[in-house]
Amino acid sequence: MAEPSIPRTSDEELVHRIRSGDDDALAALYDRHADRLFTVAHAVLGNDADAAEVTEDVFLQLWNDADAFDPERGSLRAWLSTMARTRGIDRLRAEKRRRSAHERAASTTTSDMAIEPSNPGPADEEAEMNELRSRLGDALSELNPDQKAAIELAYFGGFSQSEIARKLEEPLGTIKTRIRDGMKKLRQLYPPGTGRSA
Amino acid sequence: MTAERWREQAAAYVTGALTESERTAFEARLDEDAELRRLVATYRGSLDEALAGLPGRTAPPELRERVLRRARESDRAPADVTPIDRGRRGLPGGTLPWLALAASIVGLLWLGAQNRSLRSSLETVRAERSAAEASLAEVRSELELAETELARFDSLTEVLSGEDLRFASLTGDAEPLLGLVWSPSRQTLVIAATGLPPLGEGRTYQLWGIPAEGDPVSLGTFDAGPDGDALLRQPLTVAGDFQLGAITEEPEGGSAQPTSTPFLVGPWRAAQQ
Repeated sequence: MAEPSIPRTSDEELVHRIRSGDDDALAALYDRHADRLFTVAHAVLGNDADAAEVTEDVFLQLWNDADAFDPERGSLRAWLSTMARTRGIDRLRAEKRRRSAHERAASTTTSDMAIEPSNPGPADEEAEMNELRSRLGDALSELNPDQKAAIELAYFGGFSQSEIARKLEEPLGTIKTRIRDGMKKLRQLYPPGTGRSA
Repeated sequence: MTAERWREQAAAYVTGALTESERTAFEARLDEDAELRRLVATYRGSLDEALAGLPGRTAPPELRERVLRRARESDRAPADVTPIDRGRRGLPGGTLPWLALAASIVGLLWLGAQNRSLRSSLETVRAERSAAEASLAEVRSELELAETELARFDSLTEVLSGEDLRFASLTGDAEPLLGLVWSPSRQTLVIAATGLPPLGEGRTYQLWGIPAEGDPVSLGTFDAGPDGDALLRQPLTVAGDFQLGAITEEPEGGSAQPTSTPFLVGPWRAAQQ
């Protein structure tokens, strides 16, 4: 006779236990979601070390501020993934600012050795976008190429709608429509409770 | 902003495509709009499912212990409690050290109370700051909207700087009124209308240029707002010397020739006339 399956403790129950200081609950949530967070962070940042730090920070944030999780605004996994994405984007922007600052400092050291600070030209931007696409695999492949590109740049590149419009040389209204229609399509494909992945 | 405009922003919010001021305003709205929260939750869930297509990666094995160790070492971790031994008579080590300890405990309790009071004040200030930031974000959002409208207005008035302008005022028995400014060199037509009658479903307004001889030429279709007003600029590549302008109501998409009697008509004039 088959053994009755042990009901899995829900994410909400584990978060409730974390609020009481239960680190076993944190360990259980880590085992459940760490790989997903690491995957999302890696898609944004492109390297293991930074992705690991972001993953660590997200779980510590969960530990220190579990009250911030609101099940009305989505599942725990979606919330944690959003945090991993946001922290990854923040880290990406900080790195770009550091690089710009170094380049500006190098360009002002001596006048006879002046080096023009490099702004990303079209070739650099194209390389950056190709590198991003290569990290994303089949993610969002359900969307048409225009919708996919807009959402990729927003979610994994951290660009606003205006910035995406400039990058892709499209009207702002077109980008807004692509993002909106792309998300509507995902909502049709993956309605609430689909749960196709762990 | 209307409820519909907030819902239109939900997709951009979930994908992280809003500007900082837009995001702050949206999150302030989320706090008070349950339907919007549900929409955000479904978008988030769908995007989360779609992310399963990312190339799967495994977190480094040592990361787990690092996370748990930091959690245990943090201020939040429950401290170990040593039970008090009640078996002895009298206080070990004399009374004075215990009095000092008691005084320290009282002091710590007082500090703890002060700490809680300060934390409460800090939370209040943070909440007020969040509310102020939300208001500021709303103002910024309205400013961006106003700037967009201003840019649109500038775009319309730019047409007026052309040298080959032609004007037409189309009138009927009473309201509505419609004014046209056409710059053939810029291939642009500006339409300003007020009081246009509401259209049935699947209907649109169509503009016509009527030459001295020959059939009317379509100058394009347009729609008015719910109040019957329209102010827009649209490309116009047709060429021709038209004597009259006219407007009819046509099926959506327009007609090759007018299918109804024009309800507004007026002569075209050059700017110098």
